[in-house]
Amino acid sequence: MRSVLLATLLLAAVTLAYTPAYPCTYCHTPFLKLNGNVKKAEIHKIDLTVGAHAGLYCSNCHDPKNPMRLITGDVVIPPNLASEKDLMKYNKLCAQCHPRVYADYMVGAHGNSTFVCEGGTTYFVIGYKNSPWWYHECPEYRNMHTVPGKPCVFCHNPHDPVKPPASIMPPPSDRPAPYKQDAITYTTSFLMLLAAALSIFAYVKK
Amino acid sequence: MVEKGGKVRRNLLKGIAATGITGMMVLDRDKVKDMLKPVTKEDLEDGYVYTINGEEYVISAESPYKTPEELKELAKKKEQDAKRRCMESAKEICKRLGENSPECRLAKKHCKEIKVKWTLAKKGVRWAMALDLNRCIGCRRCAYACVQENNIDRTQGIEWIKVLNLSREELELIATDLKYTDAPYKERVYIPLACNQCEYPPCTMVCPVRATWKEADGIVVVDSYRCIGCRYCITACPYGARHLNWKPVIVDALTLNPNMHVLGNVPREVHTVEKCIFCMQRSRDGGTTACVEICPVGARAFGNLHDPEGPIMRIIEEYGAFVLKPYAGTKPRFFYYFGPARTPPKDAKNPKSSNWLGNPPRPEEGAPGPNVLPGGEESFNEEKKSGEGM
Repeated sequence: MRSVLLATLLLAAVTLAYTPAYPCTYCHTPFLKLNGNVKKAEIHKIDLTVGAHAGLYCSNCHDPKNPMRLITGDVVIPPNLASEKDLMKYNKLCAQCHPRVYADYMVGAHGNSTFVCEGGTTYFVIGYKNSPWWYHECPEYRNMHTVPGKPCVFCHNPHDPVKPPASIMPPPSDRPAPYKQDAITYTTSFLMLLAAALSIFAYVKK
Repeated sequence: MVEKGGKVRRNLLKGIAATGITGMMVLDRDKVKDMLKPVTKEDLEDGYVYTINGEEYVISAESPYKTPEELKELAKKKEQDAKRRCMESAKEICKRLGENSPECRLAKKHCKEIKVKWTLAKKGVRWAMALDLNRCIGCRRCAYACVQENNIDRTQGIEWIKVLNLSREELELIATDLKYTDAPYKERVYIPLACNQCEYPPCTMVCPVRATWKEADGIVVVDSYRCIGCRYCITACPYGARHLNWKPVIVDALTLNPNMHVLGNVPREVHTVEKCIFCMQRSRDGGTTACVEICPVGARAFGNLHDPEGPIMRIIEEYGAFVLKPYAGTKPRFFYYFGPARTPPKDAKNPKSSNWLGNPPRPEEGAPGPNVLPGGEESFNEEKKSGEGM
């Protein structure tokens, strides 16, 4: 009886550990607390001794009592499970240390804004010279609404915030060569020769 | 004979004078006063104001189309033309790939979706763009997204946005490298250059047929139905922002953008000039431009210059800005600035760190204060001492 119970418990633990939605509470109970000076979390592959946020500790952003929560009180959701609305909540944490950038972001001067239209859809197209483009399909192409930029953590990994440069696209194309003008050149040279011959003939006859 | 001729002339003059006087008496006095009123600079700038659905729109005084009805008619004509050219291309695609192919269906759908708008400029709006040169990595995504958005002919090598690759030490426009294949580098600066939408555009001043003019929201447009392809404007533009269609523009139904504006990205005619129009098919209806949308580093900002809470005013006040070729006197509305943070270049020593330049670390406690340059003063002193010794 006891062995069966243990086996089921083990199975449950294994399945929980390998499900994509691995609950953070499994480890982060209120009893597991962060010290003030933690910089590395090997299980999460986070190392704050390198990168642009090297000056910080885990407890600068995460609640030391419960690392699942941020110091602003928002629950941390893994990036592959979070919606854009969830990620938008974390912006105010970034704003605490980067007020100037946040002010830029709020007016649309940091990061790119986009737009949506009622009843329309947006497609990501790879087209001319393999370059990306957002194709907006709208019923009327009127009354479109600009949408603020993407959330901060969409582009900047909070544990390694410097964004490396993207790859570059091929160089610009030249104007194609003009049409073949053989006929024109031949005709012109023939006419010039004819004129020369005629003038020589006229001079000799005189 | 002479007397007779004189009499006839005198009678004629009398008649003209009489008709003139009676005309003046018949005409409304206020109307005559209005006619005699001189046109001021403000009038020219304000243009003709029309109220549509409770919002005030302006048609520029420079525009040859004075009323919304005229523009509407033009839009109708251009829409028919665009649809016809699109259907020709769609038929060709269907012939090549079969009637039931998805490409054929998509091409026909695109042709049906074509909408040529004639949205007017809103009153009190002045579009402007700002670009952070510290963040720009010179990837040319903006240039090619622009080609797709604005239905530019892919076979003529026309790209409205050119990315200049200049030395960071001196921004010398002549020493630019357009065909670079590797970027970004530490000592280089990348300047995407398109139409600067000047306040005093020299290109519109030289047009002999009034085919190009500045709209009331500051966008300089070209009407391809009026353009005769004389290329005066290409010569007049100090930024090289205008391009000529050397051969008939190919309309590809598959890659066509059906969102069009009469004076903007509607397929152009052969031997006409085209240029950047700040994506007026998007911006005038509440959207942003294609280049702003696609920028992978968010270097571009687009907005109303007159809006005190807009991005352009914020950038100018916070970081300051400069324009290209200010000595040309064109007053461009495309602002460049060097922002607070730079995208780490490829040849950075430590690209993941904010200290990618590899500067020596900050002095610790006990070391010389922050005002002393690391290693700088010591070496200077040593040199001085050695000089004294000699």
